[in-house]
Amino acid sequence: MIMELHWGPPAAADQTSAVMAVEVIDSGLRVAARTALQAGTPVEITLDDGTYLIRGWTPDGQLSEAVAAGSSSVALESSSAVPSPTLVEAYADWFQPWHCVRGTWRPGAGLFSAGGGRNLALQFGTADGPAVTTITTAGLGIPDLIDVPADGAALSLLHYLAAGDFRSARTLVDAFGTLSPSHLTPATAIATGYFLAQTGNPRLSNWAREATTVLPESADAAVLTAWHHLRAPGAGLGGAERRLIRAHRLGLPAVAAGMALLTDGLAAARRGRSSAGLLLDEVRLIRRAMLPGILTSYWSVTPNNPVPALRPAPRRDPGGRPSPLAMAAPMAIFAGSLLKTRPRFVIPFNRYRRRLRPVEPLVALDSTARRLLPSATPRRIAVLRKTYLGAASSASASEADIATFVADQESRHGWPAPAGTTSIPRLDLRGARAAGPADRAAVRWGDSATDISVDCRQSALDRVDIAVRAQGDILVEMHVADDHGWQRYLITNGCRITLTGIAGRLDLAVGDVRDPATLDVDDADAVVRSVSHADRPGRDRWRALLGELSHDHPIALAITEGLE
Amino acid sequence: MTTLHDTGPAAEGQLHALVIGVDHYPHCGRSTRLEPPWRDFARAVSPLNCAVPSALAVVNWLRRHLSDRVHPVGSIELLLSAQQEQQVDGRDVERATMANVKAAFGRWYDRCDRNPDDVALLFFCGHGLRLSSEDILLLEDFGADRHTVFANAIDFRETYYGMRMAKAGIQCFLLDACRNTPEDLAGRATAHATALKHAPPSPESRDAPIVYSAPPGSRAPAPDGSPTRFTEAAIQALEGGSADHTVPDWPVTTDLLHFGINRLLGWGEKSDGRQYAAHGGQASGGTIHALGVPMVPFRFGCDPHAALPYAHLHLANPDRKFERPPAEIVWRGAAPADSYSLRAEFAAQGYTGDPAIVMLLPPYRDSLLKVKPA
Repeated sequence: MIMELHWGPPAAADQTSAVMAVEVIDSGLRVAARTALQAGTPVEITLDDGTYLIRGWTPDGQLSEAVAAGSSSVALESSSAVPSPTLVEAYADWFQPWHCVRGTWRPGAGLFSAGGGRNLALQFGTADGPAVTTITTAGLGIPDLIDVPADGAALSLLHYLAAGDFRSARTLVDAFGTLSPSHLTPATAIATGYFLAQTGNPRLSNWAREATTVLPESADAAVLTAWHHLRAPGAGLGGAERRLIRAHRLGLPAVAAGMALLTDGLAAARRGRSSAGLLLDEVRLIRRAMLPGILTSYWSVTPNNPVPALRPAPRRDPGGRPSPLAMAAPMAIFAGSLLKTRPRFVIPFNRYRRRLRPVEPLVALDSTARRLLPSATPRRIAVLRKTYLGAASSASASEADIATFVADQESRHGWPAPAGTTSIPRLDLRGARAAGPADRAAVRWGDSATDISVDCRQSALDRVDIAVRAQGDILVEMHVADDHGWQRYLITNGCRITLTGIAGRLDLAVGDVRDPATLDVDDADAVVRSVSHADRPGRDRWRALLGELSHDHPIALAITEGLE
Repeated sequence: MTTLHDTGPAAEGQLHALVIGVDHYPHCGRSTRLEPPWRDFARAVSPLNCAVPSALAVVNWLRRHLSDRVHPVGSIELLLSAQQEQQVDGRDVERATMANVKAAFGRWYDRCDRNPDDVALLFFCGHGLRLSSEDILLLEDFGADRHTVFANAIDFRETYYGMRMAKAGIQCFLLDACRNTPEDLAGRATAHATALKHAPPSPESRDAPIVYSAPPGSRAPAPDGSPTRFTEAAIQALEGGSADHTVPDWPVTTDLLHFGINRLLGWGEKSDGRQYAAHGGQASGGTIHALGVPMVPFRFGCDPHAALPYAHLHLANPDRKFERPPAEIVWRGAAPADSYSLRAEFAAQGYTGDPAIVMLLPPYRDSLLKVKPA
């Protein structure tokens, strides 16, 4: 017989609808069929005659089931509710929209429903508790901006994984028909990657290889790939560390489980005061501020303060998370009760709630918000530009507005070069989806007075080579801006260094010319960094210098560490 | 030492358990000698009254499975800290101090390192906290040394990854402890707690789920004098709530462990204030043990509820029969997983209804039998 299974009202069916894994069990308690059932979309299955229990757990934790004996159409209903934790109840006491006017965030509900590509920050919170901030563009709708919360199948799969319901997750993955990121939506591909990682599936290897190409700018894909390399038997920690650093530079993973992998990965890969160790401290702070949930989201502060505020340490609530600075902000709070009685304020809010139900998906944009905010570093702004422009353009936003916004943001972020150095033109990297010629970006700079020339060019999507030419056996100090501020490198004449994980743009400055004999303990960190990034001729030059130093000289130790 | 049970090496896979329950924290509370910023936190670490009962409940469950066909319990290491000395089978049980836990862990680890077919099970119930995304488990002598405050606390993350070195192919970790970050310690990067086993550089893939009794940042409830809800749910899950109905032997598998515990924790609870379990690690679906046929807890009532006080409920199939005389409360019970007929008899006139088919499958079953006025 052919049985038609229903779940949810038919009118609700669209791409954002949740998908439930369903089992059909016969009277002998054998599984007769498994299928993925999208809310509002009936599914037909062929069965032998008999009595069946049709049962599934909805992604938010409700048991839906029905017993069918000879029925041709079966509607699944919830028999008991064991919901997963959601953010709606906890954070819907008040909400506050903000809008961005000439780079300053101002509170106000009036523009909330206005179109025109205005940037809006939405905050949700409790009267005396934490707030959640997210950023969107009015008139575009959340699902157009970020596809993880908009993709019902992906979000359902992530819900199952978070609930530890790996069987239902597997049913959904089987229903996708493929594990290949090339043949899935980006959100579904990412969710599939987490499924493979959490279940220890060896096919994560193929997934990671393909995702590197298909999802080059996804922080989630990068974290999963790095994690895969970290766990591979006999894996080199150096390679895994580089991948984790690259993943971090792509932004925060949209999926909360990715933050756990990033933290654990960095903890495993760190060695002394390595880059991974420094990043680990930052990521731990960020992770501590996270809300429980499927997607990466935060306890929040005002739109004019990044989330979370890393330094100085913010006040903490009894739960240990940063206290919401929002309470000190000049903001008008609309009570939750007011929302219910004055619907004109909340039409868009209701629309979001109806389409997406939990506030949680909105919060996913918080990682974007972090980069939008004024105290973000230039690197973060660069990542934002790529992420935000890519997402917004696909949703037919006003390019002029976005360009104005980005220019406005960037103009307020001069990143002064260290004292005593000479800035050279910034290198703007080309992204995978960049318009215009396919040539990689390059910057050349020369100074006739010192006879030093610098050739800086993009050699891959996130890789930059910096070569230096000068006279004599000298070292040239190059200063390069990254997430932690300026980093100093020492480049030997005629050689180059290669930096990976670069996102967006690179600020450069030329410092002193150094005689190798003048290097001292203050240069040790820079030497380690420079040696480890040097090309082969450069490493040979450093190795030659090693022979001129005593074995316990701090520079000798630094060179040895860099060569490792 | 308190090795309650040890069969020695075996060719077949066994389950080796390390069970720790800590109710007594003599160096915490008002008399703590710790200095700020740890003093306020240590003062807030109050005595518990549920960890020892919880640990004993787990031990009792383990002792019922010494002769299982799949993964019989091969050894049990038990450490208990209560105000009074604890005894099991007339033997004193060692206290859960760091020295004793290290020694017990060593014995447990050695057993878990013998056979890839073995299952390692670690259960901890007591105080815990979370610092910098790391879970820390407090032992009885936490705070004994005011210079190295967390020396007598377990760095669980490092220990978890360290267990990768053991041969046991399946490793399950059940942690019943708070995971909040105390206000006074929130700014600290690390606690420098003690790893029972240092982790290898590469955390290779393995079948090792972690089930926590609380999500990160949350507290775990501590009842007075009885096992915790989490412990009860965990035992129910191991007893069949996490059994895989798609396989004939009804194996309890790693990928269903958290799922079963969480569903059982929430069964019958209101959504506000209910306890949620969280999971971590990795679960590949390995078999922890097999049951034959699991018992499935159920709740049956009538729709409308007004008919229930007059309904004599029968749950039956050709092999089994269960019944419940009329009562005002729903029928709570457990029956072997199977397909049944549920029907109501009404001695007094007033209601009538047709039997309903009920398939009892883990983790539980709720059903309302529709009846109508006669």
